[in-house]
Amino acid sequence: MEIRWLLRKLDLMNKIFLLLLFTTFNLVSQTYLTRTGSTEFKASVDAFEPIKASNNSTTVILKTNSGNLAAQLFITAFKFKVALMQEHFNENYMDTNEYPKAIFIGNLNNFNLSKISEVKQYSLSGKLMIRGIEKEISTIANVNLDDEKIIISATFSVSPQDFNIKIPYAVRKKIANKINISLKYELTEKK
Amino acid sequence: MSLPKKSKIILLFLLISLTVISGVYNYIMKPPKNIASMKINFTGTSNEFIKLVEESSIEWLGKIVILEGLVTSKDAKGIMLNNRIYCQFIDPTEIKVFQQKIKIKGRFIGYDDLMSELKLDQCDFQN
Repeated sequence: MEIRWLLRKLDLMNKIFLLLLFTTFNLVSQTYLTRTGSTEFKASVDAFEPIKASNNSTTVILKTNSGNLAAQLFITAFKFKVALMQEHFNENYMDTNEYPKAIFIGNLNNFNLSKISEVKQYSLSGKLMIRGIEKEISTIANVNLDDEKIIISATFSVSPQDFNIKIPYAVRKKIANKINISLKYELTEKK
Repeated sequence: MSLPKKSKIILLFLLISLTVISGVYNYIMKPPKNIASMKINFTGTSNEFIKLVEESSIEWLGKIVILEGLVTSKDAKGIMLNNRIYCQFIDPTEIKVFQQKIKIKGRFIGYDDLMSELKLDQCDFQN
């Protein structure tokens, strides 16, 4: 009698243990992602034709327990207003056929999912890889949770030399030395 | 009619140079091609295309394809074909039309390592 009672109790404890393990596992492995994040850049110089493009097909994955963030975009998906500019960008500056993507791997430092019901600032740092060259990036990102989506926005700047992008002398004055990149990603929970 | 000959020549010259300048300007400032006017490089099933991209993804960068496949999931901006091809739509309202087996036209933009998926943009239905 007593043994049976003990066994039943053990069984119940097992179930509770498994349930707890399962829920914590779920919490730990929470992933938010988007395939259609927006990344823009501007390299305009005042008084010249604006040089800017946007990429609305950026893939972004955020692990909410650690704040680890990975983003990837295809250079060819940058849209310009002018066809010639887009062509030169892909063929002359970015060598898109050789280096088709840009990758960022980094971290939203001290990220805490439970604290972003209002817009909160986190430091975002990591490595940006373009044309096979890595560069450390560090900026501040605004993060908030809105309608079950995590919204991340940030800006930072790079220079063409960072990634060994050579700009011909003839157009050097028309392309800014500092290229401003702004991003806005709306991530939904992976189910 | 009563203009002196000199003025007529100047007027003609101005007219010609204006046409040339606007022609050159329009050529330089031409917007990127719409995919509707671009050559189709592949027509076939999703699985056939996946195989081709696995062999060489670079070769297909920026190419226009028409794919037939099964819709396995959807989000606000696109659909997933055969669990492997994400198709981002030009007009996301088209996504509401639910059909399991569909034919779409789009531009291949690359192989996404993060998600292990092929990615297409500028998609629309071809039914």
